Amino acid sequence: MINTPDKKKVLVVEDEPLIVALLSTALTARGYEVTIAEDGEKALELVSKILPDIILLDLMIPKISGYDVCKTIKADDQFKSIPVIAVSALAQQIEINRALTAGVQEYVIKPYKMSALLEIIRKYV
Amino acid sequence: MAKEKVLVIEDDVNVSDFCFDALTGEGYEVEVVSSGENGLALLQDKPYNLALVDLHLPGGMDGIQILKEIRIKFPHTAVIIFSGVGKIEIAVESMRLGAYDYITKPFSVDELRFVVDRCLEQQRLHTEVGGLRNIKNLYKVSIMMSSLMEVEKVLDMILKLAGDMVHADSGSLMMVNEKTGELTIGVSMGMSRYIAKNVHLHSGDRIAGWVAKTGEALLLTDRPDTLPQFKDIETNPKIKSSIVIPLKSKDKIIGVLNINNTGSTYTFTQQDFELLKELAVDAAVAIENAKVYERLKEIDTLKTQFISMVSHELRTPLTIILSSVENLDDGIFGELNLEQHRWIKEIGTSANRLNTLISDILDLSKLESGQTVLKKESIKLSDLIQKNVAQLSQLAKKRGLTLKFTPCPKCITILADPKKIEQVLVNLIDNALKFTPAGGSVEVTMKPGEKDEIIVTVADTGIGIKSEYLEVIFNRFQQLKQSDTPEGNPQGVGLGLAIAKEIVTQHGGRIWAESEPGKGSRFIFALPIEEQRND
Repeated sequence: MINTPDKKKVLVVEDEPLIVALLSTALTARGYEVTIAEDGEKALELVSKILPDIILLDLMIPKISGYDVCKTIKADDQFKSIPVIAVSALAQQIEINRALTAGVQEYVIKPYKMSALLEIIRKYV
Repeated sequence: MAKEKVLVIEDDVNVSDFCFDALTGEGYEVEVVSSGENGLALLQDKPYNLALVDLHLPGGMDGIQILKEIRIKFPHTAVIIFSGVGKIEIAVESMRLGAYDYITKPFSVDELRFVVDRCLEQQRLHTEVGGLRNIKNLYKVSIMMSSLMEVEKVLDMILKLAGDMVHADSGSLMMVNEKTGELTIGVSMGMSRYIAKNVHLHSGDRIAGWVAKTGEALLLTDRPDTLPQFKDIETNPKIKSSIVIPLKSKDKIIGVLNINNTGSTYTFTQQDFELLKELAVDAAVAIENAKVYERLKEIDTLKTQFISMVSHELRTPLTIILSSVENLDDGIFGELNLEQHRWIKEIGTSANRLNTLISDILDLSKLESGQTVLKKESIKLSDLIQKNVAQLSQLAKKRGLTLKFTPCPKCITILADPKKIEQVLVNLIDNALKFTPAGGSVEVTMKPGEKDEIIVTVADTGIGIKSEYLEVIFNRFQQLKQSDTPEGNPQGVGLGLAIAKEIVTQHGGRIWAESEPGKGSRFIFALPIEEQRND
């Protein structure tokens, strides 16, 4: 697999360990550098620490909700240009609108097709 | 029409005889008494339309006192005063107290007839207007019985109508708690809020409790403690008269209607009592219906929340299954042999079907509960169909089918929700592709209908549907058994058609199917053109 020094950094914010494992395997296999945050607090901490190229954000996560994580990132001049992809099992329009208002670039409904998700990621990084 | 009754209260025999002759000649039923006490006694016995009252009478009561008494106790009897010369001030005072008119003695036959006729004519009109208003109010309650309203709103309307019908100035509607049997005030008017909030009566307590317990309606025109069952209770001395009626639904008492007169001089009549008893029958039905409606709304909300929650919970494990399948299929966990490949694909297909089903259930439940608001806009239907046919043609090719679309020469814009109409199209085309054997074709056409509508047809050369199933296939989870179809192996349960039907119906359109076994099926929907043609 590709192993260049300019590997793109993906921050995966997700509290379901099996989804984390499957997603990071698929992303790593395609040459991304994956960092995991299992709750909202950790996510914000890692954003400033590793400065990811893109964030995959579950919305229903412990401590700080995905919506609030996104709002915080988008309110910060240093991080607001980082693309945020909401990845959620919530499929109602009202929830999608809420996420878009919080500033996410895309909304992917679970279960997603891995190939479709990868395509969206490639669109941004 | 029965003769109108006139009571003459006059001690001067010359005058009373004169009146008797003049008015009897006019067709009225006339009775004469010489004192106020006798006059009131007669009024107590039967209703009179009019009383002619002399100002000066022997005995304890003068004309003004009699007038006051009649206005309070017999409000439906009009009063005309006879006054002597030089008593103009008293005559004017009597008008202020509610007399219809006064005549100065001596008077002629014509004068008397003129005043009496005019008075009774006005009374007739007044009665008719009152009757019409009561019919209107009863009608309003019967409308309420079948309309969808919250309980509190229904209670409020009933109390207002009841009060309006009998000119009451205060009252309340008390409801029986189904579990404890206690009475509490649901809505009130003209009462202290503190009392309205804090009254709790047990069955049998006070007047309302007695009515709730016995199921008997009461007309109280005297102090309640004159009745043996209420002799020990303290009542509000301000209340001059009241009507208390139980609200019954299927022999069960669900509430009590209390209607009072406090400040006013009006006393409720037997007619008021009958009217409110009539109203109470419909009111009870309206309240029960409103309760059922509220409960249904509650259940509906719970159902929607439940479905939303369940679909979220189901999507998480599905994500794990489908991601595993994709990773395995991509060889990320090592190479698979052919057999493993095949079964991994099957797991993926089934999991995807489950996923579609979850989305469909959620969609349908939102459509059916009215939570889906159509976002209508002006759309070119042919463009929308073209786009979807193009997207599905890949799938058709894979199955060895041809899919084509013949647009209508006149391109018509309609007012519709494009996403929802797209869902209808995809469901119909997808079904057609599914039930048509390789080598066949699916064709989408559109044309203007007879009325202001546009008709879209999805025709296939598939296995067809027996006529007895053409309607039921639009029901939820209706799948044709293999034996019901001429040949082939139908798969995938239909929530798709139920969703399509719901969407089309909500657009004010129609959807149906036509088929002859062996010759394929046609699924047709018609949408109303809500906008001008746009050529």
